Amino acid sequence: MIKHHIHPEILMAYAAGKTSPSVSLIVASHITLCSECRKGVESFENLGGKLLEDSDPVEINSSSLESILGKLDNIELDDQFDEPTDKVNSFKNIPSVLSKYLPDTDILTDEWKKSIGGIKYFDIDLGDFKQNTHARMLSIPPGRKLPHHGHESQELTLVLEGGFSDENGSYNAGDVAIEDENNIHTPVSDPSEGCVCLVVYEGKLKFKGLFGPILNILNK
Amino acid sequence: MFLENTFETAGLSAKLSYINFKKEKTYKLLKPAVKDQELTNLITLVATKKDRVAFGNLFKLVGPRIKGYLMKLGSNDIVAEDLLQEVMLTVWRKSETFDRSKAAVSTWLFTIARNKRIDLLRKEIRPQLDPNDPMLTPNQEEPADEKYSANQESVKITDAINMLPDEQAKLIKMTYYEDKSHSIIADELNMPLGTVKSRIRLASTRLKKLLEGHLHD
Ligand SMILES: [Zn+2]
Repeated sequence: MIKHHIHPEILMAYAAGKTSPSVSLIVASHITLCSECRKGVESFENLGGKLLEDSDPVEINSSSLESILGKLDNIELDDQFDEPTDKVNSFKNIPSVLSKYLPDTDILTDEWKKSIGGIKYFDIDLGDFKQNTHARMLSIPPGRKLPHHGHESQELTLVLEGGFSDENGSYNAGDVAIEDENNIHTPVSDPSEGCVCLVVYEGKLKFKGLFGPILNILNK
Repeated sequence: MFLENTFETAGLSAKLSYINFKKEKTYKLLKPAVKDQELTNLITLVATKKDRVAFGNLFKLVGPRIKGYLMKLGSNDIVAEDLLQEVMLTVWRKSETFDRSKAAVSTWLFTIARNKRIDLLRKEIRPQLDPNDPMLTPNQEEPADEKYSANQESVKITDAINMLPDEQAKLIKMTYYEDKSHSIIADELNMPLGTVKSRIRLASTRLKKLLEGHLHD
């Protein structure tokens, strides 16, 4: 049962096509697992359709229709319009929209970088580094306690396996923690399963969010 | 520049009604401009018979608005025409996938135009929900008397937007129509950035509830 959802303004921005690739990734992953937010995105897409319907029409070039009808023949010859099939999802609890950006094997392979305390991470490059948005998978061993910290820029954490808890409650598979105010957290990863999560953060390469201390160490 | 009688050109007589942002300072939505049923019929002909006349009529009906949407988001005439062609080619190829029991034609077209713009113009990846993912949780149960109807949905959205204060409705439209960051919107509206953010948050939260039929919380 998912308890922590993505804010409506992020669902709306995603539906409007305004989110960065990394934020789109975490939204698409969450709405695979969460029917409530999926319904929210559908509602905001319906709104987009309605606004399109109500938008000011602009005259189309006179040759436009002829030009497109000419292109239909080539399409009929080449019927291969479906996107290539995704690779096999080797992770048990990870949506395919996310697993296709991960190494094609087990979580313990060398493609995942090792860090202190048995933590592993994998950076997903969706090409939005230039917008200062980043996506990173984290695998944290059981019972890891993190120091108190605050944060500045927005950070989204989607739990995929295991979970963590802090002063505000517990976060389990499917839950999203959103950090964009000056809260103080002391997250502890699940004592038996640890935590596998996707973290998306905006702003400078200085983490102050949930797993900020870990992420900062990893960036040194 | 704005065509007011595109529909006559297409041999159809749906009335156009759209908001004139400059003349009337209103952000309210008007009644549906294009009949969903007409568009659905045309798409069905394209899907089942690869009917080029139907496709041409569909193009004349929806093309000017898709082009308007793309231009509002900053494309010039040439780029908007190119994108529109790509959108309509996708409509031709994927017409079989349109499911009238789930969404209005305008919603389907909107998502295609949105994705083409991100893909071809911004040259960005857009990770998207995979509808065949085994991880996909089942949809929430809908009461039997709340089966999807494009017309009812359209009325619901119009009412929801019209229940928002003008300023919030304006911010919602800017989210969909303008390629601007929150800080640029704040500058333009002469509002603190925090106010813009909190109003968008307020408006989207309220809209989500209204669109999902929770009128009183
Ligand atoms: Zn959710």
